[in-house]
Amino acid sequence: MFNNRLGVDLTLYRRNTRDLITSSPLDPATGYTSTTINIGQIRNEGIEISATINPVKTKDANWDMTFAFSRNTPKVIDLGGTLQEVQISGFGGALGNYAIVGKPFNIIKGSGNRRNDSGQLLIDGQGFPIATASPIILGDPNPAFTTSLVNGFTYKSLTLDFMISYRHGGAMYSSTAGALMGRGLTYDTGLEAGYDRAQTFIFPGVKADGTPNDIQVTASDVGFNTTYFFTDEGRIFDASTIRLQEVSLTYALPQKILSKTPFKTMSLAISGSNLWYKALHFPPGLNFDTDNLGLGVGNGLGFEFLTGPSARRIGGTLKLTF
Amino acid sequence: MMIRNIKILFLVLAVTLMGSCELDLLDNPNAVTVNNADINYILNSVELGARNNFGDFSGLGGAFTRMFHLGGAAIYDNSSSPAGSDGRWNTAYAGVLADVNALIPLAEKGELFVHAGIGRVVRAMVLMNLVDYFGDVPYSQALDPSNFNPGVDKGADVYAAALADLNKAIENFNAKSKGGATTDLFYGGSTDNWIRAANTLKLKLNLNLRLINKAGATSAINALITDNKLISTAAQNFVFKYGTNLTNPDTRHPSYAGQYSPTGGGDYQSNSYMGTLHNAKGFPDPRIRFYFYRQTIKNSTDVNEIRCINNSKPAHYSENDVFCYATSVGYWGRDHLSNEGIPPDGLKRTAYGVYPSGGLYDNDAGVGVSLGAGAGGAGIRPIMMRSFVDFMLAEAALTLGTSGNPRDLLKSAIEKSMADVRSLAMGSSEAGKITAFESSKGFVWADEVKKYVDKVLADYDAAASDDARLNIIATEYWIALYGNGIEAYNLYRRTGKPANQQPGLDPNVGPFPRSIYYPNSYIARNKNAVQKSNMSVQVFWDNNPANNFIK
Repeated sequence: MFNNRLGVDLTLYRRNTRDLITSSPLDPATGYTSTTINIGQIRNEGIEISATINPVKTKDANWDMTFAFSRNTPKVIDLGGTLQEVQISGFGGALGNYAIVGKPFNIIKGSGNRRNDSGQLLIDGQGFPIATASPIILGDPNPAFTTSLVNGFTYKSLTLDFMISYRHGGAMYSSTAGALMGRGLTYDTGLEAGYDRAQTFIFPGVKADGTPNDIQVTASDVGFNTTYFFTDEGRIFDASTIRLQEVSLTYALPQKILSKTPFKTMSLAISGSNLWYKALHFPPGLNFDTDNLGLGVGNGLGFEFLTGPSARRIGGTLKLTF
Repeated sequence: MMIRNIKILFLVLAVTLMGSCELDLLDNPNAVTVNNADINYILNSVELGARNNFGDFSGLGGAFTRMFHLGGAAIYDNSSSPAGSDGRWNTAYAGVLADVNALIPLAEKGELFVHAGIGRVVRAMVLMNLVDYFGDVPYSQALDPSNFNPGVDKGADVYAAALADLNKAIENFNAKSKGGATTDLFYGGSTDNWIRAANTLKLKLNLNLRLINKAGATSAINALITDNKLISTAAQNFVFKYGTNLTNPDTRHPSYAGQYSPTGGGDYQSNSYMGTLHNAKGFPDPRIRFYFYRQTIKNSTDVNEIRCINNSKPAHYSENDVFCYATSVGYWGRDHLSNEGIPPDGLKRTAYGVYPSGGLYDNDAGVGVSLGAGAGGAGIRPIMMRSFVDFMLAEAALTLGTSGNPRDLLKSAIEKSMADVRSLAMGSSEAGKITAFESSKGFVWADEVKKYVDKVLADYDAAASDDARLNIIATEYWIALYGNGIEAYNLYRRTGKPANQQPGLDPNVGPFPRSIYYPNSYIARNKNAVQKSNMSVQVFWDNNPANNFIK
């Protein structure tokens, strides 16, 4: 289109995966803990768009843009028989990723705070929120959508490429956030952020008798003894992230210089990857990278357990051809 | 010729491959099947499963009744989550009960009746624990690979099945067996001891039933007394004995293994239990130095390691309730339903002692625990002790009028408890330390015990009502039970005693759990499973008043 200046690729899909050979958990009262059986149905629905634009194309200059958007919603339709819930990965019946009929695949469940019917926190006699006895749904770790934008500029012998990506939504459980925020180790809970640890705090909620909570607690009780350590709910964040994924600048030496050398081409490039990122809904003092995942190889999604920080790589390349 | 040879080769290959494909698809080829299993190993697994099942349930019941510390929750409703019971359910059904069901047919086919009898005693024990904690549980439809959704049986029916198992077990032990159970971990295969264990479990079962069937319980208990085959000597105590091996396998008592490390930590002790042992009689219980080991013998003044010292006693605590520190000599535990985080007190908090966990004897050393310290973890799981028998008989004599004098039974029960606590310790590597400490302090054990027994009996004689007398018997039983939370939990629901237990820290801890939530793995995977609305649902034998009978 327009002399190949514009291209659009659109994919819409619905993929049903059914009757997988699965090790399905059994009620141990049967005497057994699992059986191998063909069960279940998982539906992936999604859209993928990619657009390439070439707004500038002259003898000396060229500008290429590629924009990509993808959205995938995996949903559990059926787990076979009477099974309503299976833990995919995590910690024995508590915090982890679950497959629950009718919910997005890999949904995160963990301990949460008790609330009354109108959604207010229930507060105990010490002024702390009360945890739930059973894990509750804390969030869907599947991002709502991801996008990326790749730009390439060429002017004479110089080429500049960069890629920006954005992930929208998707819940994430972060131990780093819990451990640092719980102990008050970042500037987010310091005076410079307007957080005075010498003051007392009152959790918004209702006491056992239904009246609004008015019990004062200390800053360390807010962080360490309740929010970040006593339930999993406090460690769940929206993992929307904007990221400067890749930048590179290349200079190709002109042919007239090279003609006296044995080289056919010669180019020099400096490049960097993961140069800058910002997790929009995490406390800024954490500088948290949502690409850090803690469950390793497997189906687990959206968990981070004090994983080491992600790397920013900067490098130079000298390319010679003979 | 060549081609012919190849053809034959293929034929041979095909036949071999086909032959090797004759597998029963229900048997995992990587695992040992029932048919080629060694019956002694199955028995071994059954007995270890019995031990694990006891451990799974004991800690929670003990914590509910303030024998151990109930922490990690500020309200009762959070103190036993459905997911937290997955392990209990799994060990009981897919572990022990499945193994017992494999063991009994093999044992009976081989006329190894001792094996079969042990399997039945263990099964009865597990079934009673399931009913006592969960209430109605699957049994008649359970343990059947063709039924993925077994329905529940009434608790009373499961109890009846347990009783039938115990009777059949006694029949097995009396039968002529082709061989003994030489690898038996509990009694070394002694059928007389096993008969006594079975009878003692029948005593426990009937005592629980006394609330709903007074006449039946009375005649059943009287029959057991007449039969005179209950656990009555130290050698007959139904205990699992742990060792001191650190790894491959770790044979140490789990309470010890969780605490005796370079960083200490592990379970907190219950302030009210330690307070009762130290203060209630006006002098410390002789067993206190065996039950608890103080890592420091002074009370801390550092609020960073024990924050409650700066707090005032909650308004809903009575004058007699201990709070924060039960004593002035370093018994460092936690109050009921304390939901606090963990300060740096791993080498300060009071630890498990030499009985029943195989730890250190408290000789006022006041140094931190360490790996291998004390008796090295060679403790016991006190499933049924001879002292428990006398306490149960005392309760039965007082409430049902069964044979025996409750006061005499109370006296012998305490004396047996004292003797068993001491003999475990004196048989351990801590013996020298105990003797040295006692002689340096001028303690004479027999005098200490006599002083204690005299005090209890004087209180008993002064008690004005049967209720007060029952409270004394139950309180002494509770003290003797240390290490067995299952009977403490049953006792508390059956009698409401010990009375006036320390309240939870929060004024609104909710109703006391009269049973616990069904496990998540059962609720989520079995279509016939229905979760209870809360934990105040009472088990079938508990017809005590619903609300605030116990708290």
